[in-house]
Amino acid sequence: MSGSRRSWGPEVSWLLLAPGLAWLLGLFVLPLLGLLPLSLAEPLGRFSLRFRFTGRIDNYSEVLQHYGPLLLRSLLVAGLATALALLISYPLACFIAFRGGRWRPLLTGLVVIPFFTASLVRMIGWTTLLADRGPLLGLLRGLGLVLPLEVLGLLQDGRLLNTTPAVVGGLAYNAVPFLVLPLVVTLQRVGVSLLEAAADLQAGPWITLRRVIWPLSKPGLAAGLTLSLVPTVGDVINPQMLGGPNDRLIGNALQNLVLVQRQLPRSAALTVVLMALLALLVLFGLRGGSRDDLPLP
Amino acid sequence: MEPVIALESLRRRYAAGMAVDGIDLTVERGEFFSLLGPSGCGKTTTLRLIAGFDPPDSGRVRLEGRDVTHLPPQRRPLNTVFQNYALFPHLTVWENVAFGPRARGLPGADIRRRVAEALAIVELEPLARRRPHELSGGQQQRVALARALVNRPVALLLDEPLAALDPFLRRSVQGELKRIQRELGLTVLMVTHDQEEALALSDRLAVMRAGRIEQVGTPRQLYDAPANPFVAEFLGRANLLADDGSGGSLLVRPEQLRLQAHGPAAGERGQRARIVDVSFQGSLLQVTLAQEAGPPLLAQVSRQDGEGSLRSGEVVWAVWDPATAHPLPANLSDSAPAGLPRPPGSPP
Repeated sequence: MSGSRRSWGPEVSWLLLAPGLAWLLGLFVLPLLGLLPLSLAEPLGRFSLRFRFTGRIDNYSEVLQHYGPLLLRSLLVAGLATALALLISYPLACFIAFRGGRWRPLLTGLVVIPFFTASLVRMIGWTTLLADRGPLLGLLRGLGLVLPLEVLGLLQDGRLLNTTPAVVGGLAYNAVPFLVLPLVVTLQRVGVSLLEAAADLQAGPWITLRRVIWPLSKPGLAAGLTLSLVPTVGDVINPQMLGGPNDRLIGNALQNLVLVQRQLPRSAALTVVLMALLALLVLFGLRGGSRDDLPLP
Repeated sequence: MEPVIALESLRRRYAAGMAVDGIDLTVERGEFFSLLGPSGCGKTTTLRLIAGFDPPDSGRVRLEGRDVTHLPPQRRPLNTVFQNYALFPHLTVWENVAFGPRARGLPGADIRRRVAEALAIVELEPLARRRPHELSGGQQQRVALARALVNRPVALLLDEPLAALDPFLRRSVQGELKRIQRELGLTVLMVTHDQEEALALSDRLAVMRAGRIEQVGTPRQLYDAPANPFVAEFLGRANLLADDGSGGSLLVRPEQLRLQAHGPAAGERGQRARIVDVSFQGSLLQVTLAQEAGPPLLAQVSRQDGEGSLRSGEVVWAVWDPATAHPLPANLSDSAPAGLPRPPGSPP
């Protein structure tokens, strides 16, 4: 119907693409390509920081053998955190998009405002909140919830801080705005009128959610999950501050490998493996989302 | 017999002011009923109160005698054709139409049969697999109609159903709508600001202003014998002449004015006026005349009668038969709340 979608020539298209393309090539693709030979190299001496390309494919098998379980664990923790964040974000985004009215910009702003402070500061805040003599644990004790939560595995030895649930919670907290923002934009385009149409056609809230809201929110969902999952998998600060000694994730291992052990070829190999895994997840996610990316009224 | 829709003292206030200010109305079975009024008169709010999208502040909505005032839309046996159609963009035409029957949990065979019937009624079977964005505006409108019809509602609600169509298409869709309504014996409540549409389609209509109903009746009753100047002017061109007897005015429609060189015969009345403009409108000529005192007069004459003989600047007699003129009380429109848009053609 819109016959003049391409009203400009190919030169203009390239011109518009150029900044993004240059950024992507110079700062991402080239360094990443640099990682590939490095991941197949060997140090010149035992503690040397100089390398020789030897095509040493063993870097990969060693890394997979050594970090495979941690990699899986990181994906699991990140997956749990993203799922938890989604449980919080989806209803919130629905509320802002459908019921927000003129308060919509303010509500969206409130979701983002905590993230104007540095992530380190926010994590310090969390440690205070979750501390052994902190307010949250005090409240749980007062409500007599310590034992039930311990049984459920949400508390460990009467502690909140330095537990896996704390890491999952912290990661989920960080992921919420990355999910809420794209979801609000998408749901806002869905519009209240389609919800009214569904109710008019005798659909209750559950059917409306399943048949109308959910399928139409898929593009925003794919974008949000991509934006939240990727930084969550690689998070370094959160496991250090909220988790115990066994809660390090792949990001911490990578940091250790580069900054402490100085094993650059192996860290390059681990990075390539991690990137490949994430790329697969994202491609999968985007495909799921684009299927329903239809023009909305 | 119980009316299909009955509204009792329905009121709804918004932050901006009173939207619906005490409406009583009944729509009978098989009737095509229109709510006509300028934008902001509360007609769409009334429709939303009936459908259940908004709750009224007070008053009742009854469907076939049953009080549904506090039921959510999904529990009212009504279906709406929305002004923007509100089709589900991710579903095909077939799936859009099947949405209602599926939501009600009808068995699959029933759904397929009903959807096929509904698509046949609006003649959309060949497009069943298309998505809404692959359809023209007129086709989308028919999908919206089928999607509502398939549920066999006790009444069909139409919210400015033709407003989004181009004028050429509007006529044919009007005819289509009336045909379907007659064939299926549907009870229809339509909201519109287009008086021609309302006059052409409705069995009865209500003219609304500022949240109230000004008059209810058949199109002919309202056109020929409006209750007040507002209704008179909203339903078409109107000359409101001073009525010396009552202190009110006299409604003479432009087609009731005859233009001639000589004065009125016995029993007729007439007024000398100068022709200001003769506007060609196809089969008719619309003539604007200036009186010595008072607002300009409008006359409609057939082309055979007027062509060549009526020229601007000429002074003629505008003659009418007092028996066909309709007396009106003094204009009540001055009591309307300020800030409401005036209908097209009303004097400033």
